[in-house]
Order: sequence, then C-alpha cells, then structure tokens
Amino acid sequence: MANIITRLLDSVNRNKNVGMFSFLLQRITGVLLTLYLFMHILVISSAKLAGPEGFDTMMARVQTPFFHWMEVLLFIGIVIHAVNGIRIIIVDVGSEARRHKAWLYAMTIIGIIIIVFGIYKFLPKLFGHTM
Amino acid sequence: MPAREVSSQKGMWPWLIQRITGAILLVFLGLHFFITHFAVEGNINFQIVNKRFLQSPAFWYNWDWLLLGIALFHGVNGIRAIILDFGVKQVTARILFWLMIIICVAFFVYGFTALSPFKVA
Repeated sequence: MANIITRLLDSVNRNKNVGMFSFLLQRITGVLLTLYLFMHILVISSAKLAGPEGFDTMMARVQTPFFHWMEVLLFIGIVIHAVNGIRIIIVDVGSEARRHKAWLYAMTIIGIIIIVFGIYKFLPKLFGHTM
Repeated sequence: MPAREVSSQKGMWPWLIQRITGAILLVFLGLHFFITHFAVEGNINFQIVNKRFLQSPAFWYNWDWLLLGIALFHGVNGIRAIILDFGVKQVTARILFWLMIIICVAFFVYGFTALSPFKVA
C-alpha cells in the first residue's frame, strides 16, 4: 500500500500538468461516486427491509438541510465526472488529443455553469424550505 | 525480476463499454435527477414513488434495471481499471475480474429486488 502511494505521488510529481490533474480528479470522483452508489442502493432498500413506513422514516432522515448540503457535494462530484468524462470521450474516441487542453478549459466552463445552476435550484432545500 | 504486470489498456472491451455506459449514464442520470428533484413537490416518500411506478409499470420496470445495471457496471469497472493501472500481477487481475463481476451481480440482484415493494398496487 505504501509502495502504491509512493508510486502514485512519484508519477504525479513527474507529470504536473492539467492532464494529470483531470486524470486524478476523474478517478477520485469516480471512486467516491461508486461508494455513494452502494450507499444509495442500501438506503433505498429500506423499502424492502422495513416496509413503506421504514422507507418514509429513512427518507425523512436523509432529506434534511445537512443531507441536502451533502447532496450539493455529490452534485459537484457528478458534474466534474460527467463533463470530464465527455472530454475524455471526445479526446480519445474522437481524434481531439491535440486540442485536449482547449477541451478541458471548455468543459471546465460548462461544468461551472451547470454547478452554479444546480446550486441555484438547490437553494430552497439547503435552507430548509420544501420546493 | 519484476512480476508480470497487466494494465487496463489490455482490455479493449472494458474500455469501450466504459465509454458507452458513461455516455448512457449522462442521459439516464440527468433524467433521474430531474425526476427525483424537480418533478416532485416536497420530500420523496413511498407513496410518490409507488404512484409514479403504477402510472406506467412497464417503463419504470425497464428503467430501473437498466439504470441500476449500467451505473453498477460503470462504477465497479471503473474501480477495477483504477486498480489495474497501478500494475498488479496477472493472477490478481484475474481474481479482481471475477470479484468485480460477483460484486456487480450481487448488488444488482439485491438492488433490483429491493425495489419490488414499489411495484405493488
């Protein structure tokens, strides 16, 4: 494990550029989103484990302002992963490798717009108002 | 002598399917968020989901297993690719492959049967 981390840090150190940054970001968000997916499945399965009332109790517990703030983090992670994923498809399935930096900047701007719009839509829930 | 290593580059199909499922998830997750956050007034509860399912059961049945299966595959295959990129022994890669398939199938079956209460009138 220590060896793996050393190798990772070493290769990051040797390649400090935007490609490395987006590569790392894609993998970190990917792992976190997969962990969220497992958690999501377990939470929803309360309908089977505890019946409709159990599901409603669970849903009430995870639809508080605190969890909505967590959902904003989730949303940001998803948008980063999604726009970077689009860029990866454009760059490696399409033949845009030469312009990969331009695509990264374009996707960063699109990502920021989506995140700002999403947070704007989230705002009422974040402060405890139902929509 | 260093151990034989494999990288995720060896797997053409996992690479391609990862891109295809990623593109599909873009559309599916977009709709999933819209349905659960914008098309619903107030908090989600059992009744809302149950009612939505019963409005067009065939659509939601297929929607559910597709979204669950594609998301699980994309997530688990992605983690597998990350581990492979660190360079693991061939035997580890093979164990990892089957381990990931088992995790995928187990969570798919669990997740899909967990949705069954919503599908009753």
